[in-house]
Amino acid sequence: MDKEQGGASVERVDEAGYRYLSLQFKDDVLIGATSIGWTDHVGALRGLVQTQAPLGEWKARLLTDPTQFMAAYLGTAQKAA
Amino acid sequence: MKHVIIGNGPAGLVAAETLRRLQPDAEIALIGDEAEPPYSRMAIPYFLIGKITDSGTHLRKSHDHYAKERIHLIEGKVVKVDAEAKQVEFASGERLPYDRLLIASGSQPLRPKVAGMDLPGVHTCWTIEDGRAIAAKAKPGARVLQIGAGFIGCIIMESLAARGVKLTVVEMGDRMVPRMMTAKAGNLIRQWVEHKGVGVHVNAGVTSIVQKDGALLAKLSTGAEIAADLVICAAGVAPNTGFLAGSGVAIERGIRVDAGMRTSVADIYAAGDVTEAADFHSGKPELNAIQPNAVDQARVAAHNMAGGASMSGGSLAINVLTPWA
Repeated sequence: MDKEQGGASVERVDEAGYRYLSLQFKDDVLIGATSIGWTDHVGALRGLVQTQAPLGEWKARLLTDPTQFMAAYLGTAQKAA
Repeated sequence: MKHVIIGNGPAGLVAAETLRRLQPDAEIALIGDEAEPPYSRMAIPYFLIGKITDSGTHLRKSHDHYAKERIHLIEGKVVKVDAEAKQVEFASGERLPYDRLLIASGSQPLRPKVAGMDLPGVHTCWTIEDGRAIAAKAKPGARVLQIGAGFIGCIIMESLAARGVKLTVVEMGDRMVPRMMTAKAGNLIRQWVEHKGVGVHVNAGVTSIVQKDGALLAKLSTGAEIAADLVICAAGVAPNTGFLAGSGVAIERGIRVDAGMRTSVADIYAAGDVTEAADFHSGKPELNAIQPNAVDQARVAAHNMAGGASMSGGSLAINVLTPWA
């Protein structure tokens, strides 16, 4: 289940698998995240938050599927390079 | 130049090593109040699980590291900072002068003011000595009551579960990890740990602990009673600033620092969990007591103690808790 709150956050819950992921956005950047279970590549979440990388089209994709944060990290890094 | 560093955790040690690289001729004293070489508290759960021995918690493994780096390790408890005389005072009454001082004294565990918290068998899980005491008692099948299910509490809980104890957790908040997690996320963690066989009481505090029939009996605010062989208190931590009374160093919840990790007193810097530094996003002072922030701040402080002009980009509230199998 995804639930967008005010267009600035998204939440995904997998109760059967005890997994949870929420992302918080401000304008075009990721400013916060909470993850339970989805712990592969969490360094990418830190990278997105700390670099304040403009997400561009990736924001809409993450609002649809927040688990794509690694792809978003790679995508925004390639765009910046 | 004589640098004195109070606190020999990750922040203090990284600052000392950074200072050595920047100032090969400086005197560097690193003060700790435990009879251990510098170690990482974050490694204590791995010690409890048995993945490492207690020496595995040591931050530097080679026995002559500190001699080679000419970092003078001092074991002692600092009870006062005399900023006017530029000296720190130990519990023994001895004084140590400094040119520049770094306060990296970290946090200290909080114990609820509850009758019985000082009984044998009631421990915090903060020092390696605590870890040794817990390891001796947390045998498979032992009944263990843990007070507090915050982030640190969950890390301790994982290591206790791995030891095969019968674990019950009591949390005053309405969910697990209440300060970090939403209701949905906190309750998901609760369902998961209950699935793993851990008993969970939320909206509950321990009101007293007594000895009964060779064990400990904890009474909860809900009226429930829990018998335990071992009680572990993980009810939060607070910056370790008591020894700074009268020093003039400005303290709110933690030591206030600027982006260069300077305190309100000249030639006194602070880094790590003891600080209330600017948050990465808001720029407002926040307690973000995690190791990556601590070592980043230590490097900034050391550069400035050595005469540089380094600035912190702000502390990030980020943590990883890995679910156990």
